[in-house]
Amino acid sequence: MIEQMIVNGVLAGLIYVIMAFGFTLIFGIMRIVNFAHGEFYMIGAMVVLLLFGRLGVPFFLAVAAGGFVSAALGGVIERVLFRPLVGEEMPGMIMSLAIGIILQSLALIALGPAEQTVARPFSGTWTLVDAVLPWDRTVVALSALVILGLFYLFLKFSRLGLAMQAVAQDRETSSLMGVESGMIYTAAFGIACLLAGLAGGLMAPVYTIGPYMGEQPMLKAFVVVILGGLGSLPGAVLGGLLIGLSESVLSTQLDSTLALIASFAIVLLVVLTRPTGLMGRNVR
Amino acid sequence: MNIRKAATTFAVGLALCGGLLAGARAETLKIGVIAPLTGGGAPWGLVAAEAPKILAAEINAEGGLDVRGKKYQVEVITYDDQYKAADAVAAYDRLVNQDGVKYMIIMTSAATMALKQSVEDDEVVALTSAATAKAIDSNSRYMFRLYRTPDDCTPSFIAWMKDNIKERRVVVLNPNDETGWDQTWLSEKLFKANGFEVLGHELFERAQKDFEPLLTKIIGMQPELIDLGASSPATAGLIVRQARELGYKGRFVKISGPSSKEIVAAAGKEAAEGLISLLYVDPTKAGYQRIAAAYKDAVGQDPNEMIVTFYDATNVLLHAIQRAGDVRDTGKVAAAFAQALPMPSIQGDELTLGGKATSGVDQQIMTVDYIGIIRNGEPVVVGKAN
Repeated sequence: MIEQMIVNGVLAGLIYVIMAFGFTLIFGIMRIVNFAHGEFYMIGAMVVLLLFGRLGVPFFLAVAAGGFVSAALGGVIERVLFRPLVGEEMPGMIMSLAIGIILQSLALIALGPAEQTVARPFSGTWTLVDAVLPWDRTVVALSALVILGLFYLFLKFSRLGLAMQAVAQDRETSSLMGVESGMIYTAAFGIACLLAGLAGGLMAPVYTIGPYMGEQPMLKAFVVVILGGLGSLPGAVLGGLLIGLSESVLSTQLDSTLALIASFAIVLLVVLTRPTGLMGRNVR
Repeated sequence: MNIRKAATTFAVGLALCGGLLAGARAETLKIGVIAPLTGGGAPWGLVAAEAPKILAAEINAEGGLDVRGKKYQVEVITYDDQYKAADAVAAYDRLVNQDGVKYMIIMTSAATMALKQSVEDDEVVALTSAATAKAIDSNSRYMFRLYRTPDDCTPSFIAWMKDNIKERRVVVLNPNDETGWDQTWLSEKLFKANGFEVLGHELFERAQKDFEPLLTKIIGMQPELIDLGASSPATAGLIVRQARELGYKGRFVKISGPSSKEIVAAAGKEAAEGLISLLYVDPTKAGYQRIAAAYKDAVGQDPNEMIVTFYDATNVLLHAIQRAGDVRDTGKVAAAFAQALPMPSIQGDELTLGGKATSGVDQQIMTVDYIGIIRNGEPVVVGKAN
C-alpha cells in the first residue's frame, strides 16, 4: 500500500506542478494572481473533447492544439485586459476573477451543463514494485515531465526565457538593458496559458469535462504556489509534489476531507513561519 | 377617412386588442420553477425546468387545461437559483409578488428548506424534489414531495440484492454532505439488517475527481461490493473507472439517484458492466422515449432520468387543479391531490399519494422506481424497488 500511495501522490503532484508553473510564472513576471488560470485548463480540455473526442484527430495533436488555443487566447487577453494592470495586484486579481467567470459562462453556453467524457487513448495498467499504474495516468505523468523539462530548458537557455527571468527579477533594470517588457508580459502569459491548456488537454480523458472543471486545479495551483513561494518555479515543483503526496497518504490512511484540511493546514503553517513560502523570495 | 376618424378607429382597435390580450392573460395558469439551471446541479435543474414546459406545450396544443369548462393556457416561468438558498428566496419573491404564481416546483433541499414556511404562509402549492426528510412534516399542507425518497425505496432495493446476488462484503461510499450522511446511515443499517457485512464507509468531497487514494484504502478492505450511494452521475463513473484501474474485480451498486447512462459514459462500458443501479425510467417505455426526445429537441442533450418525475408531478398538479375546479383557491387544490391520485405515470405505472410513514403526513407522490443492471453499456430493468 505504501508504494501505491507514493505513486498516487506523484501522479497527482505532477499535474499540480504544471498548473502551478503557469500560475507562478504570471505572478513572478506581472505580479498578477491569475484566478482565471483554471479556465485555460478547461479550454485545453474542451479543445481535446472537440478534436479528439468528436472529430477523431490524434490525441497528442489535439492536446497540442488545446495548448495553442489556450496560449493564443491568453496572449490576447493579456494584451487587451491585463496589460493596463501590470504590477497592480488587487485590480489584476479582480480582472482575473471576472475573466474566469466569463470564460466559464461561455463554456456553459457552448458545452452545456452536463459533464462530458472522451474515450481514453490509453487503457490498461502496469505494475511498478507493488503499485498499480494506469497507462493513461502514466502517459500524463511522462508528458508532464517532458513539458517541465522543455520549460526548464527554455527558461535557462533561450533568449526569451532569460529575458523573462530578468523581468521577473527587476523590471526597471531589465528595461534599461533593452528588454522590452510588454512583449515579455504577453509571452509569459501565453506560455502560462499554454501550460494550463496542455495540462487540461492531457487530463481530459482521465477525468470528466465541464465548464467548472478548472476550479479545483486552480485551487490546487494556488495552494502549491503559496506553499512553494509565489514566483518560484523550484518552489512550485516542491509544493506540487508535497501536496500530491500528503493528499495521497492522508486520503488513504484517514479520509479525503482530512486530507483537504491538511493541505491548507500545511499552507497556513508555512505562511506563518515562512511568509515567502518554502522557496520564495521577498519582493519589493 | 380624415385624420381624426383614423385616430379614433386606431384607438378603439388598440383598446379592443388590449382587452383581448388582458383576457388572454387572465386565462393563463402559471407554474414557477426554482432550480439550478447553471453549475453542477444543472443536469437536474434543466429537466426540472423543461419537463413542465413539455407537458404545458402538449396541453396548450390541445387548447389548454380544462378547469370546469374554462380553458387555461399553461405558462412555465423558470428561475435559476444556482443551488443557493438565498437565490431561491429571491426567485420565490419574484414568482409570487411579481409574476403572480401560485403553483411552483422547487428542486433542491437547500431551496426547499429556505422556502418551507413561506410556501405555507403564502398558500402556494409547491412540489419539491428535496431528498431531505425535513422537507415535509406533519404541519405541511401546501408542500408536496414529487417522488419517493431513499427511505422509501432503499429497503426494497437492498432486499432485492439479498435475494438476487451472491456478494455480501460491502463498503459504502458517499459524498460528504447531508444527503451523503443520511444515505450512508440508511444503507449501512439496511445492509446489516439484510445479512450483508459492512466493512466500512467512506465520504468524499463533491468536487473531488481523483479517487485513487481513497480507492486504494477501500480495495485494501477486500470488498465484494462498493455502494456508490448518492454520488453524482459523472463522479460515480469516475469512481468505477479508477477502481477498475486499481484492480478491483467486485461489483458496484448505485442505490440512490438514478444515473446509469452518465455512469457508463464516464466509466466506459467494460468497467460499468454488471453495475446494479436504481432507475427512474424503463428506457423501453414509449412515454419516456417521447418526453426524452422532446427534451433533446429543446436542450440538445439527453435528459437526466429525473425528467419523468417532474413531468408526472406537474401532471398530478394539473389534475388536482382540475379536480378542485378553481385555479385561485390553492387550499382546495392542495386538498384535491387526494382525489387526483392514484393516476397513471408517463410510464404506465400507478402514482399514489403517501409518505405518512416517513414524514407523518400523506404529502408525497409515491412513484415507481426500477432496479437495473448495466449490460453491454445499457441499463436493463430486472425489478422494481417498491
